[in-house]
Amino acid sequence: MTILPSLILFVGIGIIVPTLYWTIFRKRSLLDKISAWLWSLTGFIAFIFFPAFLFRKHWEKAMVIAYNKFWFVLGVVQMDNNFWETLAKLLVIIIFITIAREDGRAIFTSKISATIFGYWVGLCYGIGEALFLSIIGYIPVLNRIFGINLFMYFTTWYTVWERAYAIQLHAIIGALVGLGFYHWYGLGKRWWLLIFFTFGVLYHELVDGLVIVMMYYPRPAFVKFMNAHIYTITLPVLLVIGYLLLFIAYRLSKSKQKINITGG
Amino acid sequence: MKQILSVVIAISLITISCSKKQAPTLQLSPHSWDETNKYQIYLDTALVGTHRLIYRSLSEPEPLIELQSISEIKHATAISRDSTILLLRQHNLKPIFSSKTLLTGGALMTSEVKYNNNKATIKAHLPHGEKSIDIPINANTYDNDQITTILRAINLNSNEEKEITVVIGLSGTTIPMKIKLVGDEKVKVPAGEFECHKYLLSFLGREVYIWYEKTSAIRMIKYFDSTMKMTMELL
Repeated sequence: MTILPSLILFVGIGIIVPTLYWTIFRKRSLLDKISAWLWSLTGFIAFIFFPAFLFRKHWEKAMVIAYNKFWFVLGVVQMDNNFWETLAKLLVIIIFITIAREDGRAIFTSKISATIFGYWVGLCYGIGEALFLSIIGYIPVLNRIFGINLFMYFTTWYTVWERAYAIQLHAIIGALVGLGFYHWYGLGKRWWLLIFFTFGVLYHELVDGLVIVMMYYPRPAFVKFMNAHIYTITLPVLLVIGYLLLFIAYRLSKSKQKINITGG
Repeated sequence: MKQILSVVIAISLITISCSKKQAPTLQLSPHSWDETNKYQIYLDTALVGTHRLIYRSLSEPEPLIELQSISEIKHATAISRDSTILLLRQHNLKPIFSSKTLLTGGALMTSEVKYNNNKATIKAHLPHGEKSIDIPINANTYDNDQITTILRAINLNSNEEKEITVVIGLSGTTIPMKIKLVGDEKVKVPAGEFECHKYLLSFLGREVYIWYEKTSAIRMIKYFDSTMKMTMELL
């Protein structure tokens, strides 16, 4: 582990980013009902859910070894990964609602609160991923415990830069799940949680699926281009697409007040 | 009732005794081991480099083979150089030690692997630091850089397939690899025309075809990586 990038990762991304996020958004809409400890607890659960759900890599690795074909890795193994990572975020929100009871449910009756809080859950999950990947890379024996191979992974400026994007990708997925809960509690459309969950899974597939395409088909010119500019063009474009999807999903989601007016 | 019980016990005992059996190790028939073979490397149809395999017999402290493998590839503006030294036991080709140096994209990486009965100890010097790890191995574990050497001595029937485990030092890991004799072919390369056994190596979704001559020298004649579109031919 190189010292300065690690410091930026663990202090900057691990502490300052979530603190800033909480400071900026804790008073927005109905979120002022949530105490600081409940924000922290939810963030910590999301953070710890990354390693807790990482054991899936054992069977995903077994699947890749058993049948290593592009379509299978892209459509089955990667989708399994997307499913569990999105489910982790969904479960964090369910745990939050269980603990916070009325106040927890109230958050998800507001579109803006649900989106911000969902983003918070995804952000903390992404931070968990960033930090634990760094730790597993530093202690190679953990590779076997979690079923992944990070022997060549070091915490460098490149990984810090890449993680800065990755945590936002997770945060976008969290926000989509949050919007799904808004449809449940705010609009009374339970099935829409499943639809937003699926959006989250598919957005994850878009990002990681592109990496799989690069691995299996490294020779086409556009793949070479994406690979050569992964930090400067590919990742930023994927992030912009994610924010665009979230923006569209947010705008297309009816707000509760409008429903009341129409209903009245 | 007693009969049923005894049948169940008998079946259970057979099942248990069968499950304890290890996968059979490869049947190897070592040949002479003092030679140098040189290959030219193509990416698609472009000649991009050379590969050398150097075998040397050693008698001390036990009958060993020293295998050196050196590849140099120049493609576009990039130069890649891969150099490995391996020590193998002559009677079963089991690896004892390997040392690899890889220079690619301006980055220098080295790895050392020491093989024991049940573990391989890997030390790697990577562009951003050093890593070391012990990984479990079994009777069918070989070094990644000796795979073409195993094929040199392997006895397989047509369409017969064996699975081995391969240690990749720079990745600090093992991967499963399947070896299959897919048939016989006559192959023409710069060194001449040869009657060959054609093998298929399958690992992590990649398929590599290797042609070995059928005569007593049993040299690797041709190598084709269908994913990377890379070909090596004996000079």
